[in-house]
Amino acid sequence: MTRWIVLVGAVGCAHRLPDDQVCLEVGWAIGARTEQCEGDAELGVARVELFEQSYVCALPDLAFPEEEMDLYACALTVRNLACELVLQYGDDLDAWLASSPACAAILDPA
Amino acid sequence: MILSLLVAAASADEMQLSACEFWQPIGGTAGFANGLAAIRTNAQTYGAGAFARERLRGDDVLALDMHVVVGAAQVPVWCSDTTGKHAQSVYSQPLDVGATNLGLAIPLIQDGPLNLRARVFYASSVAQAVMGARALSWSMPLLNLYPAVAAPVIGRSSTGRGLTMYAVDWIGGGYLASDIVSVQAGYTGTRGLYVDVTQEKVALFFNTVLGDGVSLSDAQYLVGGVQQFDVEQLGADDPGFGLVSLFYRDLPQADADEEVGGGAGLVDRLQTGHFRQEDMFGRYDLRAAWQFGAQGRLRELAVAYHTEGWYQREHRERQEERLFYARAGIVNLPDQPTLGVRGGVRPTARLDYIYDVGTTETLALRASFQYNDPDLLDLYPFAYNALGVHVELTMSLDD
Repeated sequence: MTRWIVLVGAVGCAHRLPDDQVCLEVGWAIGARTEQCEGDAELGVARVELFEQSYVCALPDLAFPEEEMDLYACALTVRNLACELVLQYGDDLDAWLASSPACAAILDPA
Repeated sequence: MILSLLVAAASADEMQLSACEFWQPIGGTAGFANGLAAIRTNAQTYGAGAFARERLRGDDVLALDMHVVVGAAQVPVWCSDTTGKHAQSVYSQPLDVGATNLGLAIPLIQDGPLNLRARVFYASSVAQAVMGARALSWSMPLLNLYPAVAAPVIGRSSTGRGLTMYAVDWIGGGYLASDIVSVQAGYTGTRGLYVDVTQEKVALFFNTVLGDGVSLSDAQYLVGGVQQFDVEQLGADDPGFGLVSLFYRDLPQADADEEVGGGAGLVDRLQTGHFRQEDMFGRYDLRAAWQFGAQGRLRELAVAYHTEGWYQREHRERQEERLFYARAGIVNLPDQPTLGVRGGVRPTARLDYIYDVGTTETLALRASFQYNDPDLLDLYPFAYNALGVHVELTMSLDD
């Protein structure tokens, strides 16, 4: 019984994220903004997949642990990109990633 | 049992109830968007309406439902602690959602002409989101009992600050049932009009909450069709067909990034058609749902097995005190990049248990465990792989 209670209580517990999570978030940010601005969820997922094929995660060495949080600035900037720019950039993901210097710090072309 | 709980509590204490003392969510992540969607959804309006229809149209005088969904969203957060498992790192923090529904009904007329029955009812819904305190997640449905009782005094309230949420809504109204038609109508705390019209013989129904106006475009949600049609209601014998349902549902979907603005064309309604054949040969169910729209697809396909008497049919007496229900199948979600959801087929399962206290059906307790429950994913599409735990208490008048 105790095992079951602990098991149910432990579902979805806090856990360490994979190291490349910060890069995966950029892909989902591109997909999200595509869906929001162009109203096309399938195009959004297609751009997530294009991103995953086109870039590899290249995380820098951090001087201080709290700098890890700053790496998410790329995803945050992309997720807030103006719709005019989203429509203008389209599948040109380099243009998307030029929106924030944080992107160049974590991503390399595949 | 009590010893087990104490041991579990002690174990939890050793593990730390909170994975991190000082944390902050990281904006721009899919998990953060999910957290926002979880707290901004107006699911409690649909929740209150569905609760009033499902639980307050029969002979029940008291209905209390408590729900917890653990891990409804996983939000990346930064932990500022200097010691501990997640100190000085980014980790995934679960966001749990809980809800308490309370319903009361007072009979006014029990057996009038044309089998007329009249009742007044009150239904309330209190929803809350909790992050970083699992112990609080388990206790919040009980803690919210008082606000559920006093919802009209508290007023319609919805507060979202950061990734915390507290929302209260309620419906007060009347229910008039007869052999011809049954009408349940009320005023909602969101200043809307709740309406449910049902023809009991053929199980034809229409259920909605209207907002600013009285046209269908003002509907906060819509459900209509046939629900649990029983040939025995027409005086025929049931050879094993059971209860047949075919209905349409239109639900609002939360917009996670509404503050960002500039978005256009984001799907904000979920329109689905549902077919169910329940209680076949007294033991089997089949459920299917189709999603309409740009990403139209088979949304749900599941089968269930249950003990006889699981469904309370008007012309049959429930014999068993203890009843079980098990369901398994698939749920098929569309792509939703805004919420970080890659579409596809996922397994769904549900286990329910009812303890009917005595054979007079005056008090019943129901517990339910749900994994990838389609009804939950309709409201929270990102909550796949989350576990839902529901407890329901029902009290009806002794015949």
